[in-house]
Amino acid sequence: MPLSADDTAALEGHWIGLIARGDRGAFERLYRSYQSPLFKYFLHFVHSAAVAEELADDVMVEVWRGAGRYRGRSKPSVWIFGIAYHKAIDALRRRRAPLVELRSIESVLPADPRAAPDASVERDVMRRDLALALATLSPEHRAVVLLTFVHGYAYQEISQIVGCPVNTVKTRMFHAKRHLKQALATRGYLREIS
Amino acid sequence: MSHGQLSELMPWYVNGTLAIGERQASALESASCDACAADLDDLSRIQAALIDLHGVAPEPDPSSFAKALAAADAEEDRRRLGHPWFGWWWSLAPLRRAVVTSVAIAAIVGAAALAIPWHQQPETGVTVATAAIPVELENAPSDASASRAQQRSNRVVAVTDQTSVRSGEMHLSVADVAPALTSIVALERDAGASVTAVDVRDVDGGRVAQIRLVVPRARFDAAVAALGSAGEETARDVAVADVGPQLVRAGAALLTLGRTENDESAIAKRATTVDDMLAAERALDVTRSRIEDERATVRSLRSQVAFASLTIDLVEQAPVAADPTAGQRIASSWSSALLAMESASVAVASAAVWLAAFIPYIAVIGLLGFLIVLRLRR
Repeated sequence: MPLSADDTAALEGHWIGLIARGDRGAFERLYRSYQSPLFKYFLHFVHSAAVAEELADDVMVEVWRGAGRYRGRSKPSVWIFGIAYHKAIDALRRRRAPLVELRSIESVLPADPRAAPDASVERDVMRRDLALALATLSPEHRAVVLLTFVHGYAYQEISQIVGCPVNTVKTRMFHAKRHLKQALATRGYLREIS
Repeated sequence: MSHGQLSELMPWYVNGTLAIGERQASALESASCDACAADLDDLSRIQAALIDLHGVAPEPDPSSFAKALAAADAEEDRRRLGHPWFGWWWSLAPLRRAVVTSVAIAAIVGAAALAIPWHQQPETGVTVATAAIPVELENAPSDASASRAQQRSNRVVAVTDQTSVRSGEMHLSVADVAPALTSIVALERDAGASVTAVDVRDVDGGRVAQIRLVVPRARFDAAVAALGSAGEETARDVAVADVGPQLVRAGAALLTLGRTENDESAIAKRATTVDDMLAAERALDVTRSRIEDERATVRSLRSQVAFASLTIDLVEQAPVAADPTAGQRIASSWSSALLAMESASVAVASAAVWLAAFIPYIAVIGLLGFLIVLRLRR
């Protein structure tokens, strides 16, 4: 039976406590839990598997180094995604490549569409369009969308992760939502916005 | 909650993270408002599409944990081995690291500033004489004796005992000044001392007396030790001053004056007129007068060397007080506590003022440290 969100947070908090004392087993368990979510999260920002993997590793090394400073004021996942958000923003700032290349979108799509559970061409095109629509959002707006719809965070938690007031989170979501809806409606996936 | 507010919350209604009140309000709004219902539908589709996209996205290399662990190990090594003494320092946040560094540097600079004797004070008290003095000073120098004296004056000898003037000051607490004075005079007479002055006065709470003695230098230590039995010694100060340089100076002056006297005597003998003879005699008188002055100086210095001076202050003891009562003890403790608090407050204030003087340095060093750490981290 999967653990509840509170039990998961308690367990991860326990692991972080062990990591602070140098427990490699706990670090491996936490790494296995977060490697995939962090990697996929970073893919939407850097559109490069190698860089995403490197950033995910950076986050986990930061967790290893800073575990002693974790005070449990927020959920462990909020703390970890907070580190990840700032790593992503820093990485984008260093790369200075704001324009999205169509080719780079491939990085967030399955390498072989036929390997995906639903391999219909229509669905594959829709995923591509969605990835492109997401990529044209600013990193700050993209983060709010991903943290809400993919990672399931409350707006208060997102405010902690990105380090801005709750109202800013709501405003970012408002603009990101409108942008996504317009992009997807244009391609016929949603009804046209009046 | 207004329509606008509920519309803003719809994404989190869709992901199921709203608090119960907001959830209920959003549910009612989506049921009663067509626009909100349509928004809810669109957001649900977007979420489903995003989750689908997330699900089919490539997975990371599962073997990369080894790489992450190696990076963590490297970090650990850097913390433990690379900086064996300062591992704890690396574990601090950059800002705290900068603050700790600044405070440490300020402390080191402050300690160094206090430790370095910027203003070297001359040593007081005992001085060790190593000057040269002529041995023969007393006799009026003739040509031959002047030559001998000149040769002797060139000898350099250690003159610690021969040229040092000793003096002492003692404070004795006695039950009654009068018998104590009598006993001191008797004691000192045995030691060969002479009393040069006695002063007895009545003051508040009893009588005090001061007695001044000269003691042969060889018996000075014995005299001081003997005085201990005359009363309770509360303070003692023994000083030694070197008069070697003055003796050398006086000796050299005598030699010069001796030659001048010889020259002037010869001139007087060769004088052919009465005026020349009188002028030579006047000059000779002046020179002889100066020779006498220098001899007196030498005698005085030798006397100071030969006899030590001793000043003894006698103070009558206050009557022994009765055992303090509990109230007096508490009052005394309270006074002590107040005094201690005052001292502590002064110490804290002094430390604060001292630190305040370094604030510009601490701020600059802290800022530099912070910038360096930021630079290193990038």
